[in-house]
Amino acid sequence: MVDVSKLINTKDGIQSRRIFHDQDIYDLEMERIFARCWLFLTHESLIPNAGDFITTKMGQDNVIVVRQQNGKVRAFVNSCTHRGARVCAAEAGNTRSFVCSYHGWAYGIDGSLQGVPLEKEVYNNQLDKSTHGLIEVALVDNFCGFIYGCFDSAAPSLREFLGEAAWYLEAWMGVPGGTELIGPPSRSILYCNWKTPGENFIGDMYHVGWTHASSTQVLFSQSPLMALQGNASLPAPAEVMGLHFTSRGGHGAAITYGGRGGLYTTARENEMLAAWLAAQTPKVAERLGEVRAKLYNSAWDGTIFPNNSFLVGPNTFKVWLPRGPGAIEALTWTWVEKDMPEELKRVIARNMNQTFGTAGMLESEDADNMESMTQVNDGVVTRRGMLNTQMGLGREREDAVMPGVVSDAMINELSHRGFYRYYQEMLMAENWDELRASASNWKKAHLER
Amino acid sequence: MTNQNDEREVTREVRDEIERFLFREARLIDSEQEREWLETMVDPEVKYQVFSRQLRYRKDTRGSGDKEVYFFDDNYADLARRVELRETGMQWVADPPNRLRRIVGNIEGFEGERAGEYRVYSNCMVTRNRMVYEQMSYAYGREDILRRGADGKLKLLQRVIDFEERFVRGKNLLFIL
Repeated sequence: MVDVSKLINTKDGIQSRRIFHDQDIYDLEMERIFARCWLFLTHESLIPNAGDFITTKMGQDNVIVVRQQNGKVRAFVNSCTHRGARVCAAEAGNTRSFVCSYHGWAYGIDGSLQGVPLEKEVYNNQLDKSTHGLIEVALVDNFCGFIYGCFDSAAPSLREFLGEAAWYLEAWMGVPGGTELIGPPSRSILYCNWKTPGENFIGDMYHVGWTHASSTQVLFSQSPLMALQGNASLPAPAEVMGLHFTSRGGHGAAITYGGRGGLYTTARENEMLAAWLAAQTPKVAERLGEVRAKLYNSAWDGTIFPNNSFLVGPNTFKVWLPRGPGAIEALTWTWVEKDMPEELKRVIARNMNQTFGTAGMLESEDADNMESMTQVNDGVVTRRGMLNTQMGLGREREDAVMPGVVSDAMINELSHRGFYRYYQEMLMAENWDELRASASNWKKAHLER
Repeated sequence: MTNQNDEREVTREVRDEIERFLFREARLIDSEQEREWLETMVDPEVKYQVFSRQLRYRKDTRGSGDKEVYFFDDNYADLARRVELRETGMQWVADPPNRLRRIVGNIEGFEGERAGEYRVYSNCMVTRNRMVYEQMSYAYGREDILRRGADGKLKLLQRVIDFEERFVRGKNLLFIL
């Protein structure tokens, strides 16, 4: 049995390298994190009509997400209750039923078993169809149109799971007019542990100037992020440039003030976005307040625990699907604001794919790091050691307006420490009741020295 | 891919010219001479697209949303930035160098819609070796339009690739396809 208490030390900001390698840790992660947490499924905008569906995975479980006749969204395990073959081979579409390709058992979009070929002749009418519906995902809900599912009926609501992070996420997901994803996603493999991209996106602004030294120079010459290029100096103290936050549920982000614009490749494209932001900012301020209007104009990199990452600015939206301790499938969408002009949406999608898509210039640079920091731990001596996330340690604080724990510097590892704090708690807790019991003290691990 | 049976095939001379173009292009890209490729073989009005199609049932025409995602949707300036990236000397993913090797085949050439333009089909098999242990391979078909430039030489005006591998096992497509 894994001794999870020794894998993570939140106070000192260190983690065992074994979490990127060991099969038994991975198996525990699947049971205690992926079978218990809310996981991203799809967006309202991608399945607007009754019968619209997509297929995806929750951990390594294949699921179908389908809009019902009454408009609600439900999700089911994509496996026939007869001999287990999958009942849907398409990635998306519109249907009235899901039919198993093995013997033809047919399920309604509500998951109920409706048709069994030769039922009378071969089962003598003794098959109880009512107990052979598709296994249902216990909870499905959406936050600002982003649909998540959870296998554990004892889990808190999605809103509660997002906790303090919801306040921040609303600054881009919950703006007036709303947000949507442009589908379909790109899909590719990376030979890395599922946590390595999550921790990179959750707040690693330190790597931007170095890993992306070439791409910041060539692509971001009109952005404040250009100042990071080469990791040689900062134009202003890191405190002035932005902040980090972490939350009860391990969700977090690094936020670079004023960095949302200037990331596209032509002056005209950047002007289009600037005009949109200028027009929207007063409306955002009216609904969400001045602080979040400032966040709306900022660049973000963030992760929603456990495996859902995003960027504000490049507007990428990612899910890292685990495929064992050493591989993931990366799913990538572009997010845009619904009310943006069509031309601006296309500009954003084109730029997103050029930077963080399958042929994305920044994406491939990140991938090499995520893979090597996973693969080196095949070495028995190498993986004895601990890894370091101590940047900004001791500078965490609470804020009067911004919830959770924040730290005044966008080059920081506070949100990494928060991610692994909750990761450890999830692995140790037997059930959601235990997690609820410890919820009130979570900030101590960051604030008490 | 549309049926081109009733289109006019190019003359043997032009066909040879097209084949020489595609082979030279393959050699320049595979030997890290993308700058030479860009400046001597690509039309300034180029449209360069690679897309991936979401897998849907044949009969399903009612599903919502876009059916494709564009990995590349580049113009000349975009391609130039990709070339420039490696020239910075700081693109760590290309250092040590990646080695590309491609086979171009099934070449067909037809007269284009406008004089001096040719519609060209080809298939590609590419192997990419990098970082001691990594080897990846890619297979795809290309639909190109080549246009004769003012200098009398062919240039790439349009390339469209309907990339068939939905889940990209070669990790990324950070090379000229």
